[in-house]
Amino acid sequence: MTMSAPLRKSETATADDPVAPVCALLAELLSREIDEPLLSLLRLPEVRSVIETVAPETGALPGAKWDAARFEEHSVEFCRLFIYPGICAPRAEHWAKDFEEEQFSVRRWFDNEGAQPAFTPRIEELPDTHIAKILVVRAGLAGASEELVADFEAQMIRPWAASFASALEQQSQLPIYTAAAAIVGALAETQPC
Amino acid sequence: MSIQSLSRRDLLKIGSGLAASGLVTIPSFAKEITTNPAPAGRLGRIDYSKAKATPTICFGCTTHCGVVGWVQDGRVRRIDGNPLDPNSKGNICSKAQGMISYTYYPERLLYPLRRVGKRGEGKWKRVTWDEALGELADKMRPLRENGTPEEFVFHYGRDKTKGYTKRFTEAFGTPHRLNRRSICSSNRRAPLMSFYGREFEWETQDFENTKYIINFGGNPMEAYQGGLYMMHRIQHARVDKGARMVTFEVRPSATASVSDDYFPIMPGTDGAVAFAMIHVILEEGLENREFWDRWANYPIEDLRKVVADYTPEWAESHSGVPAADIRRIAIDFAKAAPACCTMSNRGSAKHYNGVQADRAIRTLDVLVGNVGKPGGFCLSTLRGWAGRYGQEGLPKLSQPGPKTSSPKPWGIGEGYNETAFKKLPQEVQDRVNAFPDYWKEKYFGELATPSEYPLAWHWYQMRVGQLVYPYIREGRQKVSVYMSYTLGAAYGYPEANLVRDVLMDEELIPFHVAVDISYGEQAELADLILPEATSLERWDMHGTNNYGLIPYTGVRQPLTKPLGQCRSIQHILKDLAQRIGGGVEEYFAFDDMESFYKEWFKNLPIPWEDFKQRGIWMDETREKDYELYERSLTEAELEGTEVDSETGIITNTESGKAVGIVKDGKSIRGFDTPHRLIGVYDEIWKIGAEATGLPMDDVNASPIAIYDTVPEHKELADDRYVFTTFKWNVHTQGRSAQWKYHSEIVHTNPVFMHPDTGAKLGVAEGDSVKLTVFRPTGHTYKGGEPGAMGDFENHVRFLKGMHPRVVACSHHAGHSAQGSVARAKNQLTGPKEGIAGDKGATQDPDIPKGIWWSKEKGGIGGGVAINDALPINPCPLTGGQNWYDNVCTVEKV
Repeated sequence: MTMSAPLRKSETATADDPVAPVCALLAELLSREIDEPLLSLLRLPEVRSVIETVAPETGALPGAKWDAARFEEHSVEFCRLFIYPGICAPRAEHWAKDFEEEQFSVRRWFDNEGAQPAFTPRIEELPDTHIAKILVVRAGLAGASEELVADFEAQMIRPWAASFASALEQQSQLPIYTAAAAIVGALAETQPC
Repeated sequence: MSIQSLSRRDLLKIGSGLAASGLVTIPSFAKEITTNPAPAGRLGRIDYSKAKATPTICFGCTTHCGVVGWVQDGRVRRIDGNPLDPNSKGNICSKAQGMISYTYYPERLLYPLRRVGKRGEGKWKRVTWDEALGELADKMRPLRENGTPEEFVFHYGRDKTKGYTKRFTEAFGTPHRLNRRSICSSNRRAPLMSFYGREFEWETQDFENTKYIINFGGNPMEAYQGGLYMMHRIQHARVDKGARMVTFEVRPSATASVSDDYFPIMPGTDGAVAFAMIHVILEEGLENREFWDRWANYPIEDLRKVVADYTPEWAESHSGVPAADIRRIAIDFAKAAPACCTMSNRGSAKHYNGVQADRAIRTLDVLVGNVGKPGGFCLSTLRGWAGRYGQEGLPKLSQPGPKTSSPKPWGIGEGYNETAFKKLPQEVQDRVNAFPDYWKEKYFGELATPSEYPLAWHWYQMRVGQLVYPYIREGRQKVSVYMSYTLGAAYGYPEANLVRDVLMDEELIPFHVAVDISYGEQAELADLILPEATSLERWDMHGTNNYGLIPYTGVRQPLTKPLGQCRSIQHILKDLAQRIGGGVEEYFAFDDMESFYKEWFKNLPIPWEDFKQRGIWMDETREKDYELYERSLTEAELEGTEVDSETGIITNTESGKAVGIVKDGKSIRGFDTPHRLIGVYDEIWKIGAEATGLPMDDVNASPIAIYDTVPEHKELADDRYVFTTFKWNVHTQGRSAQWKYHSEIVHTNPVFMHPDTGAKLGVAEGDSVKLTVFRPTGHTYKGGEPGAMGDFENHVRFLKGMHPRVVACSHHAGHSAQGSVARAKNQLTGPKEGIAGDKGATQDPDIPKGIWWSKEKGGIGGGVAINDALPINPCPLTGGQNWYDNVCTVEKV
């Protein structure tokens, strides 16, 4: 499955940086409704085990059969959480306590680094401080220096991740989004692996 | 496992699994990062070496000033005035910055949404535009195919597309393009058109050169179409040239506060004061007899008889304005003529007797002969540019073809839609069948042309918007698809609860699609929501009356791409037309919106790119629109005409339309009325009364302006007050409550009253009171129905200068939807999947962290919704909502 327009892929880089694909997966979950390709990712054993452990209810899990009603159920939940009423607005500044002006602006970050991002159209149209966009950037830093990655996570992810994860865990009514909350929460840990 | 149990180590396991699967494709930005980064800029600030300035037209309110937007990094950063706009001359008000607020509002609608679950339940899912328009087209197409296109109803709140939406409704074949004009200004437009003809539903006073202004309830400092154009001229005239302005108002508005004289006036008595002034002017011999005899269609001696008893003392007994002041002002006004003018919108008109009040006010101008004169009450058309009166010699600007045509009127006989007509209640059919032919030819059913209110559509379709929902409920029109466009009826119409009841009823409204920029009370009750581009993101043709008295035009052009997946209404209807097919698409067969507007403006004498750079065009060599009525007809205009030897009226023999009048042997234009004179006397009011069964002694039935007290104000009990509403200068109706910066300034709507009124009621400032509103008693919707209509509670603010029998609230607050700012709630509650293009701009920390004026944070909250408690009250014949007649009691809570 291709989740975005073909961009350079570095297998070595992602192997060395396993957080990157996690961020890419989260970015998809937080920016679009679940479809068959995304469901395939959720059925991977490592991901599925998280979902089944975090929320052991049967029926809504990736392993179960998904009919049209199941997909719609998740679309409605996606909309409820992230669009309208958007209880868990995926905007970084909504979940951070103290932050500097434009701290979470992806565009500002790239400008500071002297670079121009090349997002897919779907990601491009998201706001600059959308959590999915921030996560896509994090994913795309696979292969970058450890220092750069650490700085990015400290500045652009950790300030909001725990708070957002907590809210998402409380509000989500379907296990896949509860699992997403768990994964985001893990990103908030400051201790490196 | 809870989220606390999932560690970063677990994360890495997941990541390794994902990476190994080969199913994840991720971008690579690592190599994009240079080793020598550029210095960090402050993206929230404008860098004028990078920012691009593009002119456009403001849409913060209905005035539409020319502005310039500065765009940097894909985001509009700042709005300035366009100095080339001859109307605003580079001035803007705070509402221009509101465009930035509503464009980048975090809770703005950005994606099409489809209802899931029950209507009004608030459960939605995103759909693609293909899905949304596909479903909509599938529901609309059969209506045409089955011969019932009128079951598609398009209902707008604010449409400045200059006829583009009409292109769609006509192409589709429905007459139901409804609006909210009756909620707003139809009562003040009808008198103007009765006097001056269809082309002059709005006047253009020459404030730059005037010496004296009498203002009856107008508030251009805060809320008046064209207000900004007017006020900078008025203030220059007052400050630099010594002009005087007198204001009659029920409360000390901002305009009253900058007037030379301000008189609190009893609501609904402006007409009494105007009549008394007419009386004084005639008594003093200060009328311009020459002008009156030449142009008024009513003998002055008859006018003298009408106003014989309307003395200043009589007017004082009604209005509370001292007789001596009425006399003084009338004399000063007349002596300043012709450089004097009246102003009225809408304080005088939105009453049961308001139409007649405005006719009296208009008579004042005719009486002193200031019409069309420098400094006087001029007429410069605001309609766009396709051969309008007074626009001869201008480049013809009209929508690109093909031209649509109106559906058939409803009635019996050749050329009529009999099928639709016969579905109407018999009582309605009987009424319409008895109409004169000129009304039969314009009748299109009860929603567009309500038969009980013929003067709501006699000149053109102003409609009676507040009756749409009751009429649907009564079964006067079957609706299959209802499209609301920037319409806030579910919040802002009188008896808004009735609106919501009808919208919730899936039998009455089987399918509701809402097109809007924010998730308001109307969108909440939709089945499909289509997110619209804002004014910073779309095209429009601009035309309005110029208070500098030379016609001009402008273009609204997109400064940035629409955010998210928003589309302009033009784009939406174009796509929809193409999906519906069946010939509708033929009217939307242009490539893109810019090419459509370029074609629209093709006859301008400057290249398209130059026009876009200027934003405005005007022929600066053209003479001002003084005395248009005295202009000679050209040879071309005289061709094919004949003259009535008795009246002098010049008529085109082919069209049957009057085009001019002979005066002193010269063929001149005259006024745009059938008789080419000023319609001080107009039979149409009497004809309307006869056709609708309105008693002939009702004030609205009189062919000459007369006075009668508002029915429910007669013998007003001592414990009753008149409740009025108003608009703040930083807000525009109820649609701006989600503009963050404006709501910071005004976010609540207390009940204003005079301190003496408070003392009488035993209330102190800040106390809570309950206002109970009663139904009106005149010939109107449920007129005379006993008992309370509704009530609401709110807190009190004292304001000296209020009329002691008046209590007032602004009507813009108390939203239950429209997002966290409008609701003054700390929780984000609207669609917020991103504001695309929010590229590095400052994020307002208040919105995510809470609204400081919310009650949760100890603030005063977001005000009280009042419209449920206000009765539907259409004025007889014209249908204009009598907003300012409401009678209430006030009790301390």
